[in-house]
Amino acid sequence: MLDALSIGFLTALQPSMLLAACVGVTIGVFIGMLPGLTSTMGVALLIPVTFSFPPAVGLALLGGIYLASTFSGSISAILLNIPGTPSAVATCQDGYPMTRAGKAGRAIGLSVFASCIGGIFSAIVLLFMAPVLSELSLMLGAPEYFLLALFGVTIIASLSEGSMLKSMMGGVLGLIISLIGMHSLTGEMRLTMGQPSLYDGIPLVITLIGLYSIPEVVNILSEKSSLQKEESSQFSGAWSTLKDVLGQRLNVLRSCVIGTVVGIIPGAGQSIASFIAYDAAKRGSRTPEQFGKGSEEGLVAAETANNAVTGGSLVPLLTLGVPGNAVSAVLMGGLIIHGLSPGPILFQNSPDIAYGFIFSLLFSNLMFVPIGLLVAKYCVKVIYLPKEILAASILSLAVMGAYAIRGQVSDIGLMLAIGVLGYLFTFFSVSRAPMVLGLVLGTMAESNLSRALSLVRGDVGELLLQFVTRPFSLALVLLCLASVVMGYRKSRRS
Amino acid sequence: MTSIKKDAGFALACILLSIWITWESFSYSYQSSVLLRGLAMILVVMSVALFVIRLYQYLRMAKAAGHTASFLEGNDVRHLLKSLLVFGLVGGYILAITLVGFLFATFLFVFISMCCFSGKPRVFFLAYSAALALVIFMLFFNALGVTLPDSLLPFDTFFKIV
Repeated sequence: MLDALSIGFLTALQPSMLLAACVGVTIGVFIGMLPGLTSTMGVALLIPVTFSFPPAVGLALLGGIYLASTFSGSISAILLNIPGTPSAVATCQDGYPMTRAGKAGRAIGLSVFASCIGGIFSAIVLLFMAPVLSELSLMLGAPEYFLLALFGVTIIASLSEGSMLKSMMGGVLGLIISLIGMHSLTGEMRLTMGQPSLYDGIPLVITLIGLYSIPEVVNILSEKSSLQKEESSQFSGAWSTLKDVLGQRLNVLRSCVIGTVVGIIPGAGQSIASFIAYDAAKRGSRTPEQFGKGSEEGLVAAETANNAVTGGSLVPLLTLGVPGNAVSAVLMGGLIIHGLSPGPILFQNSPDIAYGFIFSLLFSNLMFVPIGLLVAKYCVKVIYLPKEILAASILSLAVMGAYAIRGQVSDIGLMLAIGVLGYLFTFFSVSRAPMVLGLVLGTMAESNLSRALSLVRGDVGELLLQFVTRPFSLALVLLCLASVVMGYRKSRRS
Repeated sequence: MTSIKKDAGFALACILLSIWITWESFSYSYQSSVLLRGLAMILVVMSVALFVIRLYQYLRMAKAAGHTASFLEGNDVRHLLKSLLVFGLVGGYILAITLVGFLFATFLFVFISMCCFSGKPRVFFLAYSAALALVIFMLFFNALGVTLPDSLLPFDTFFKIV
């Protein structure tokens, strides 16, 4: 093992690997910032570019894109309240209020360092514990996935700003919207109203663009006062920002663990990890009332967790050949194209590639700190542009982003319809984050519930018995109950 | 009081929506709609609860204050007009894409939007609109290889570098 690690380390130190990681990180930072361009798209679009590269170099490039785009989704989330990637939705909760208070630079600085630490933690876990953790992911079945989705639903209440009932209603609406389209097992169409563009459901990215972009443009146009000017230069505060992140040791460590564990579970996703970490930070905070109003703890928790997912999601891919999320599925395609078989054989036959890739992820996590800070230094100025330029630019990018997902003009109409819904949510003072969480969880909950029921031939009693007899299911059931009880007690106290 | 009235309005809208969804869900097979039915019925219950609570609060406050409140506050009308403008512009953008192609539609959309949002046309807006449309076009259609949408007048294809 030590030999393999040293081979991997030396491979990752080669100039071509470092250059590929640097280029990947730079491209990833720009991809993640633009709403509509996701990590998955960025990696997929650049796979053909890697055909002529050696496999390790190609993987370093793609890994850099993955990491950096996960982080940079927070830049537009913080500056404009428009998440650049689905994983940045939780960042909007506290990042944008910090911008409105004149702390945009500090918010991005916290995000950069939190993401770096989360990514490094999960890369180290991937390096040393991948085979052990892969056994864990094999133990999880349909009942566990359904309960994980249910656990996510219990968090919805904690995301509420104001009326918890309205937030829960938003969450339920999100769950219902996620069910639009074809049922994963029966193939029956639901709530499509005969529209072919709805047969595959409503893509999450289009929903995010509509839900956040359009209402924010309306807000920008309606505002009379401008945002508060940045209080201090971003770079002069970089070291103190890093110290502040490290000062939240418990929060950071907890978020790292949550992100890595959720990442290991195939199909769970970065959005879920950031929400779970945000909720855990809120429950453990001494000032939970500050969450949603510019709490640095909330921002650090969300950003640490969503980057910690990156390493975790590669565990099932590299050790078992099972992709953990959409990006790792595309990376798997990249591995196969280069003639490599993901799984245990990869570590035996090509330790330089396998371990070299993991070490390049470690270096990429360090590289996006200066690149991210440099890009963000100029991006912060965007929020002070005249409102007509900002609004028109956001709308045109939103429309393009919605179109680019599937290449259908009808998706722009879909984005507009969701935008109307998003506007109505802000008009009625209903928080949008619970709806997004419902959207993320709905598909996962339904498909796994159907799968779990079909495994027990529709016997609900048998399924409920499995929930309490399978060890991981029981742990998740207890977590759900604890989450509900704690949430109820907290709401009674407040 | 206005916010309470708004909440009641939101609850009423959700009641109607959830009843429709519940009705629709019973037209699907049981296996396809068990979760959908459950969620729709939960939404009905939540919406009715919110409506009843807010109505009760509103009536109590109106009685204590001796007057009722309007549904819209000062800023709401401004927000509503701005939102209608935005929806109309995006709707026109979609139509323009299908007619004159993406590049020209984007140029027109950005220019007209900026003129509407600022209240007066400026020469700078022309240059900025052209530049933004070109950048988006080059980035998405040339660099990233996204497929051009179909249009009646496909001028875009002349600009796409093969």
